[in-house]
Amino acid sequence: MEEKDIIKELQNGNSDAYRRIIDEYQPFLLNCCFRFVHSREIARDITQDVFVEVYKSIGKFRADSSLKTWLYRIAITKSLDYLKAAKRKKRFGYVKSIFGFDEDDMNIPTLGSAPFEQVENEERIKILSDAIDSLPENQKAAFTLNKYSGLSYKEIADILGTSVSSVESLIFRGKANLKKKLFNYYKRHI
Amino acid sequence: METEKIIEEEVNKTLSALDGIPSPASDPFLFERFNERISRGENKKIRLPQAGRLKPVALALIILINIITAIVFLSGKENGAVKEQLVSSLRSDYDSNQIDY
Repeated sequence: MEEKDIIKELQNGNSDAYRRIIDEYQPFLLNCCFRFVHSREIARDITQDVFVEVYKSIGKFRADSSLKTWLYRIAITKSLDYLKAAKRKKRFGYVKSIFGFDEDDMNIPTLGSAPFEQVENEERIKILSDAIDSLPENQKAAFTLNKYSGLSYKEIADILGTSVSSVESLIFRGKANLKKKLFNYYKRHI
Repeated sequence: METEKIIEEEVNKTLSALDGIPSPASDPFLFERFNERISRGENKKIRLPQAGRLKPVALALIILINIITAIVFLSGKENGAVKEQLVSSLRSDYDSNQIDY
């Protein structure tokens, strides 16, 4: 079945067509969301939201881009929206903690008796995730899609609605910013 | 110089910290979950055209409420003299600087 036929079936509300795109695109979208939000559970929820959004908006989809590109766009938008909301919540939690209210989310999880390497790697993951999250949105999206979703510059350009040269520049600046942030972090902590 | 070298090493190690993390496993029940959410939301979808049809009724109701309010307001003008008297007595109460507790 060609993509335009699948889109037509999706627009007609054919559940087999939905099953088909869920089976085909779930792994890519799940991985994409996971690389943004760094949580498997949240990535699963966002992936589900992506398909619900497809159901709601497929009538407006004019196939200017491929279905895959459109799905990635929705996934990235939803992931970035989640991160923004999480940041707001964190800020609010901080304010609450200043005024003496307890915030469960702010409790640091105990690592138990995990081996030193594991603890060290978890620490590094946290530092890197925070540094990626602090990048400007377009640099974060381009860098993450390239490094962790393995998409080509052309695919990223289509998803972000920009040119290949812009994507190259975004990735270059993203990497440079990331190195700078990490360098400054270790400069303060070593 | 030595510290800078150590920092560079740490930066490079940290930059590759996420490389070995495997992708999450797909949810085998995602379609079922999606279907459930859609069937819950479908009620809303069915209601939408009906809501569209109700628009003129809602508009007529708002106009009717406005007309009734206007009638009530205008009929109230007959008691204008009484109201004016009340307002002036209240004004004189407020204007007097007398403190009498």
